[in-house]
Amino acid sequence: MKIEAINITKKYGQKEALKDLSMVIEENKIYGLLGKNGAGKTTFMQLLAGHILPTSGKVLVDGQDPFNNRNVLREMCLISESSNFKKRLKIKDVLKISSLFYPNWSQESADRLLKEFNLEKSMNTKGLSKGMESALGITIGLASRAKITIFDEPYIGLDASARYKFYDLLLEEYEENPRTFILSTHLIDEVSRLFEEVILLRDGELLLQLQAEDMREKSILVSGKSEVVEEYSKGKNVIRETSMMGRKTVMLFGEVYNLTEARELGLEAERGNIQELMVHLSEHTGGAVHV
Amino acid sequence: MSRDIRALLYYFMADFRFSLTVFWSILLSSIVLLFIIALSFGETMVGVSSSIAIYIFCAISGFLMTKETFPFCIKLGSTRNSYVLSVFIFNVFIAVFMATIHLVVSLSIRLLAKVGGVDNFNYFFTLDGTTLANTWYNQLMVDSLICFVLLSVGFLLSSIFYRLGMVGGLGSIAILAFAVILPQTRDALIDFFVNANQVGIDLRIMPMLLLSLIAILPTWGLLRNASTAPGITR
Repeated sequence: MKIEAINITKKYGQKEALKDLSMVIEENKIYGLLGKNGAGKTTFMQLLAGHILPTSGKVLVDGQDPFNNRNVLREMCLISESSNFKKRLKIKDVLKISSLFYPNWSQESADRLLKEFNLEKSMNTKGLSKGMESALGITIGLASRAKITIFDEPYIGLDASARYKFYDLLLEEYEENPRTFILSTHLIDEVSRLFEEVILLRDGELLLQLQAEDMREKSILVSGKSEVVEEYSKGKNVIRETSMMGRKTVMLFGEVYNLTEARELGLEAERGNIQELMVHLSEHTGGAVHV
Repeated sequence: MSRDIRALLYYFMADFRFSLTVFWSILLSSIVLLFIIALSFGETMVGVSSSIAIYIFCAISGFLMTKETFPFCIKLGSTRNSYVLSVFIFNVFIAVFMATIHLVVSLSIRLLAKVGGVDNFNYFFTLDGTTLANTWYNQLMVDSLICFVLLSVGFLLSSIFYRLGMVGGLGSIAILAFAVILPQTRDALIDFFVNANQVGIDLRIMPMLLLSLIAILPTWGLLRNASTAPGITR
């Protein structure tokens, strides 16, 4: 299912959470939706899932508005960091209800995931720890087999081992049942290996939408003698710069950089990682629009 | 549509199961306790009217409905139209369920009192105060109707609070209060729903039913574009 955001603006009172945002999300890819707090990620996901209406503009999923549209919503599952289900029900009730809402629901997957995360069907959701609650949200998201599955920071409270288990399970599910995954996270280092494409928002605007590999290719982190680094980075888009004891390190972004070329100049050179790129591109001084 | 409504009804039932169990456990225990008191102290007159408790439960349940269920149902992918329709169906079901359980409980207690010869235990029904014949089906009908009215009006009020926040909700309550305080509107309201005479209260069933059915329209109007966050927080 193809998603199109066309000039979306969303205002909360005087505050503009999204500003004239336009983008296209193709089907059957894993997207990383990144940005600092308040960048508009959650608002965008809520618009996509039909939880809220835009102030202006349109969201289209396969050409249809998702708001109040069951044809679209049955193929859309948004798991947030909290409040995904009522905390009075038993896990078995939550699963039963979810199975009725999502036509592609896989009970087999749900059972397997519950086992992986050590959750019992008879448990009451009120007594779940934060990590268990996250695990249940992840179970619903993956077992829903919705064509568009969105995870908005669903890993809160999960320990490192459970998080890595989730990443593996997500990849397994993706291989078995290809669909669009949109992952919003602040744990970018951990999750970035899953991303096929990265969407970076800043202050409600689209700053960047690139294939994850292209994003890495278009970045370079070089360090060496200050004058050599300065010479190398002249005229290039520097998004981060640090100097210490006659040595300088810069991160460049925006064109395909050749590592060998930099190394031949006696510089240490490596690709930037997505987390660092997100941090520095999101800064008001460093980021230019690279759509 | 029917699958969605089935999903929503299952959700409501799972959600209400706990409150219903707690409510009926407390009410039944209280009735049994009062019955034992009447049985133990023959001189003491004991009067019980459980109808009020049921009406209060229905009014509160209706009032909590939107806040407690709407965001979760929308997050699961329900449409607002299906939600409003499902709550309407659920309200009918709960009203009839409460009235049926109440009927069974009251008839059983009356039978027990009769068999045990407990003359100092009186069980009052709403029906006793009306002009309707004292039959089980009238009792079922009156209780179901009143429960349904309270659930529907509670749901409407709940939706006003959800969508318009405290200002809208309290404003609506203030308007209602004024309508009750002002003699002209109060009399008009009372005359619309009941006709009091020397024999008893003549319930106007059709206007009550009409109010419950019409209440769904403003509720739908309020919720059709509502977000998953209550109005007060936006």
